[in-house]
Amino acid sequence: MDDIQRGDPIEEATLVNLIQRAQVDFEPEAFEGLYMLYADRVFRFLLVRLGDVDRAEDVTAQVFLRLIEKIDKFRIAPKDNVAIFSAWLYRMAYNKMVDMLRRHRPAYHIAIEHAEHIADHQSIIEQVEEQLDFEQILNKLPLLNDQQRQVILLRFVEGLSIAETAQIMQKSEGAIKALQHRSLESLRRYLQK
Amino acid sequence: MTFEDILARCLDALEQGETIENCVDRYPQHATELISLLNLAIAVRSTPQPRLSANGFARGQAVVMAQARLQQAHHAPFKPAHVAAARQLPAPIARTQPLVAPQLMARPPKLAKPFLFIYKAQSALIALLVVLSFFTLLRNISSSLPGASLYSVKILGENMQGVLLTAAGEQAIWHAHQTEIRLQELVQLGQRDQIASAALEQSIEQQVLATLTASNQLRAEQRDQFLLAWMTRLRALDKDNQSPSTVAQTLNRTLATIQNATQVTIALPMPGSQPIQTVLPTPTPAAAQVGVPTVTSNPVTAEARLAEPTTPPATRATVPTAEPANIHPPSVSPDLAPAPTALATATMASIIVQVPQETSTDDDNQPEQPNKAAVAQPEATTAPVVAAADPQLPDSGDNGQSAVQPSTSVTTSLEMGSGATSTGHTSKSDAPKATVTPAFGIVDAPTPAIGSGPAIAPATALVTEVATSATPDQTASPNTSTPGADKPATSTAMPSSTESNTPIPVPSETPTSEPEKTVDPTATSKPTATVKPTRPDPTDTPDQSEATEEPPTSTPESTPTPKKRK
Repeated sequence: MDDIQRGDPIEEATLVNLIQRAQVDFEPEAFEGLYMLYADRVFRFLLVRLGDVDRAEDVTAQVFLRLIEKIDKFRIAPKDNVAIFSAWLYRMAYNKMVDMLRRHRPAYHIAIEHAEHIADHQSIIEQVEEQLDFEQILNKLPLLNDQQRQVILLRFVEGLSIAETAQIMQKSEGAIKALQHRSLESLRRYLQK
Repeated sequence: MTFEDILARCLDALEQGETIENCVDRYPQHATELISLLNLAIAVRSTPQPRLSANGFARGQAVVMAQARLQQAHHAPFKPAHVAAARQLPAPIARTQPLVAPQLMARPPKLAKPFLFIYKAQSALIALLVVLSFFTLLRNISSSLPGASLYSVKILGENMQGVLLTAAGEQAIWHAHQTEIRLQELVQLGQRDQIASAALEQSIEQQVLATLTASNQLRAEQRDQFLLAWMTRLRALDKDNQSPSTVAQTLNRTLATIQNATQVTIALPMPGSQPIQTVLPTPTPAAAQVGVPTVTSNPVTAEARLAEPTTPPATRATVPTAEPANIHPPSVSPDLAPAPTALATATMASIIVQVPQETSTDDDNQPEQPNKAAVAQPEATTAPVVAAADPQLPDSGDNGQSAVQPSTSVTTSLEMGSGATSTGHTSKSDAPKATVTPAFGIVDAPTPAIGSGPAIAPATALVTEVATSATPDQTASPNTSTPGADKPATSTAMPSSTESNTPIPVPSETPTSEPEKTVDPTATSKPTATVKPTRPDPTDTPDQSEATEEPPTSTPESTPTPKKRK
């Protein structure tokens, strides 16, 4: 896979070829190619939520180990394999992140008067995610909710289309459009403050 | 069209290369909103995207590659998912991709056969060595003796086994087994010229007591059988007599202790059958020998026998004893082994009674006779013989023997068992006049420690005891012996005899006394009648003083006195 470089745009044919080689022969080079294409993307996806570079790196590696174990479960579709595979890989990353957060849940010291508010409106993960600091991209991103951040990330950081984002987020394109609008509005509002 | 759709279209247009002004021109009513949001979107897209650090990327890549190679080595060629994945491939792609990589088809076996064989052989060899070493260790532990490093392990294992057997209700068997083991250790130490520790002897005594205590929980018959078998095994521990005297003394002491205890407890069931069972093998000649003394000692018994032809085998054996001539020849033979056994089987009690009489009259003639003297104690025992043999005899009851008989019967039974075993030893030592001696030998005198149970002790000890007891006591005893002194005399006489060990001529007396005995049976019965009342307590016999007790001997001289009394 000498022709695949880190962070290259993902093409359907290239991706299908890598998946086939990984499924049939477990070629290390095929997995290396997948890693080249998706490592930084998965890392950003996790970094937006975790806000910790080290943890995001660790979970990224775990995601690809999981991919090696489960690669034979992926069914290659006649088309849109990039969106399907990306959505499958991001879902895998999300699950790994949740597992990690469950195992290493930080101890929060919250005042009693704030406890009810937090419990009513936000989960612990969401709270953690909101406290994240996305230094390189947007300082205000943590102020958005999870779906808004995810839409911002997928649409404007990763450059995915509405259809791809909808598939990854398992929503309709109309829902993604509305979510995209609200996300930009919220982000603009926070930036103006 | 909603603003969301307009925004989405403008964002897509920006991605396609359009400018913000072009989008705003298309949707002038949303111009202000669109401009701010599109600028924000462009700013976000222009922001440098975070990436994995170089180290993090390289580390993750290495991990992924290693895992991929591992996965390829173990699962790739055999995963059915590969076939399934190949089936799912789109037609054009599936045609270009082989189902299985060619290099996988030619993959060599993981491990060559020779290496597999060596590996398996090594495993089997190691397992065999482990098993052998384990059993060797167990064997060393089981054969360890006091003082050895593994002896504590042996004791620990025995204790664990004892807990299980005790829980299973086999306390008597367990303690008996422990006694045998300890005695075996004692014998082995003696054979190695090593001195046994006091702790070992204490443990033996404790185990003996524990066995006797535990055996009380058994039924009478079971207990008798159990104790007899146990004593037989204990006697077999030192068959060759190679162990030093100290070990032999300990063995004898142990046996005597058991005999004493058994005499007491077995008294009740004894009345007839139990001793006879063990007696069965007894040869006739020995019985004849025994018969002679019995007649003299216990006239009552003789009468009963005469009156009742139906007397059991034991009594029959005693009756023939009246014929001395027959008895002597077999005893004279150097190897008296058969004779002693016969005695043991027939009736030990009868033998015992006769001996004292003979010993009292004759002194220093025959070394072997001392054994008989040991029997003398038995006058108490003689009465029992009669009781066991002829339970129906009226005379016994009239003389007040009835009370005495039960106790005597007990002693006889014990003597039977012991005599059988002991006779083997005594027979060898018997003197030419052995006719009498063998019988006495059978009656093995008890070891000094016990005192009460003469019959059980091995032949050697018996002989010595008899000698001592016979000489002094016989003269004095005749008269005294008849009443109450008999029992104590018997028991005590045993120990005293052992101390002196000098063979007493008593046997020589037997030939002379024999005719008298035959004649006197009735006369002797008189003294027995007097003796019986004193005997009733079997327990008394074991503990009685040694010197005074010897008198009980039923020497011919004593017999006349009872007649006078009548």
